[in-house]
Amino acid sequence: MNFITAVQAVFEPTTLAIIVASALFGLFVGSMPGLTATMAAALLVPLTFYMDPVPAIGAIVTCSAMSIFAGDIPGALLRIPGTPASAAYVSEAYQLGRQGKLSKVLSVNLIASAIGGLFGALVLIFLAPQLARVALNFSSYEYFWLALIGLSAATLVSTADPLKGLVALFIGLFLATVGLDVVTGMPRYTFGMVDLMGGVSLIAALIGLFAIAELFRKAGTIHEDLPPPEEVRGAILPAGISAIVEYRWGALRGCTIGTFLGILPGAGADIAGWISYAVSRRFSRTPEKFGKGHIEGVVDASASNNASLGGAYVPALVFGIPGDSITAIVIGVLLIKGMNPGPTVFTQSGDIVAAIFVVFILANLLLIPFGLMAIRLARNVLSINQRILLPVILMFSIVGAFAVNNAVFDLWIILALGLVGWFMEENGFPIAPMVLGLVLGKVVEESFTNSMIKAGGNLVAFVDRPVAGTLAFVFFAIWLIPPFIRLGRRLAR
Amino acid sequence: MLKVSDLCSGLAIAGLGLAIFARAQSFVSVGASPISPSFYPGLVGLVLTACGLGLAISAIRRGDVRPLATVPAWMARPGNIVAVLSVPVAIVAYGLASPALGFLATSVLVMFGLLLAFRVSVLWSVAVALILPALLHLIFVVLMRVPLPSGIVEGWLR
Repeated sequence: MNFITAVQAVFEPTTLAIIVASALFGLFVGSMPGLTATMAAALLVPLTFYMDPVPAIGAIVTCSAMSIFAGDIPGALLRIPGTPASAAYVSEAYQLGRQGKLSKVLSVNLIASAIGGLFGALVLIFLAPQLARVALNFSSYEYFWLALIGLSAATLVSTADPLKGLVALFIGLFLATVGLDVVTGMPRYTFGMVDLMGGVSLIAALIGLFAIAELFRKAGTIHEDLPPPEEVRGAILPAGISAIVEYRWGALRGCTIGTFLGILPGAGADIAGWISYAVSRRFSRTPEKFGKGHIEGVVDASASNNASLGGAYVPALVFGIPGDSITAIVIGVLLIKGMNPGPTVFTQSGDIVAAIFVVFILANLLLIPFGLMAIRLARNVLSINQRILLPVILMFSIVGAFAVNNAVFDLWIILALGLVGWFMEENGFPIAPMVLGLVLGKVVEESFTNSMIKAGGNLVAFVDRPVAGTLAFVFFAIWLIPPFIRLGRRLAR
Repeated sequence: MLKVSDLCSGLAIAGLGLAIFARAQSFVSVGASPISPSFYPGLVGLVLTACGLGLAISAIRRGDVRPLATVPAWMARPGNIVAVLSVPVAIVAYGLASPALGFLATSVLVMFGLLLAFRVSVLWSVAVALILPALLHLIFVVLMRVPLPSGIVEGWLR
């Protein structure tokens, strides 16, 4: 990895212009209630298809960092989280605003987000190459178990009902089997349609599940107009510095929890925000103030959700296992660019990995000036008519999905998966495990098939190597320990 | 979207799983590979069936006596129904019309219809329906050189 080359690649004028444009796009989408950071990333994918890898990944990294922060703005102004990642502390932030501390809470959101984002980026920069060195010794057996552990964690963490998480995961795994079988070349579930021979288009699937499903949901609420937001007056940045200094250990705790949860497959910024807020309350000297307009939990959680973004790239880059929905999209983009996320990416595409690291630092530094601008313009942005905005996003999704392969068939995929995603979310089935299943399905099947061919059908080979055996143990422990604990408790009663 | 009881959705998922499993049985093995192409999708189908049955059984155990499906709140407002239906109509209309009419003409018409369905005033609808396709043309065709379907208007522009 050569950091000087990476810096040159990132600061190349076109790349820089793309980063700035995606920062503005991320801030806009994040600050619009109901539009998520994942949706912003999914909408960017058709554009990244025609870019080089560095600006493509740079666009997604910048856009997601900006949108996670921007989600805090309508939270404080309207008590409506811009993205689910801000939901945990929206009530607290709004109450602070009502107490005349709007500048303070938004400043804390902004500074803590930048600190969290930089912390996550530093962990990524130092941890990922070390882990990659270890992972270079992995064979298909280890990858098989790692993929299963990643999918298991994603399923268990994403929802309160593991059974619904499993259903979502296996629907994703099923979709990944559509197309030509990798070993025999036999068409599976294509029903004679040539368009399905190459499998379900990942970009179309992402747009369908994250953008079209969301548009269906929002179209059902167009009668609900947003209330007029309050204007943010006075100096913003200095207002929150004292709170950050006072709760510096809380910010560090939020950064650590967020990064760890980001690394854990399936747990993204949303869960990081909730857990950090709860931990902050648990260890606070004044827990009774929480829920009444207390800044402490906001510091932890604002740092945490942005820190999780960097953490999520660790398993994505090192093992090719996404840490959250956004990195699932990033893996899809890397695969489209002909790169194979995994430890070899550090040796084969070291400059691109280094550029990703540089983009992470740059995006989180840019967060301060761009975030300040977003806060100042929030009143205008939130006044945009949603009835115009939603058709604009739909048109962009249609053209974007169509443009990638110039195939009408991809439009049927976005429509079908948009309906599926809408139905699933309305009925408590999480979308994230489905996307992870779709992205990782081929990895699971290929590593299983390759391992079986290597072992001549002998299943013992899957647990023969020490690391593979340990990973197999972890996999079974994840699934077996919770039911055993529940059974033990029931018997004890 | 309809909210369906866990009993109903569980049984539907079990049915889907069985269909996936049954279809997988038609994938025949080639050569001496220890793994048949039907093994993995068949396994996925079986697990989906088990999960679906598990959902249905747990709903019965909980005594979940909700109706099989409940009508969602958005259906109470005709304006919202029109807006929701306009989403699939727009996608299908673009898919069917753009190869013949070209990107610009189709997107102007689709966008205008969409905006009216979302209850935007005619004046605003006309303005946005003319500006957005031009902007998308600029981004995709001019800046990124992505070939979008060509038609009458594109012919005039050449």
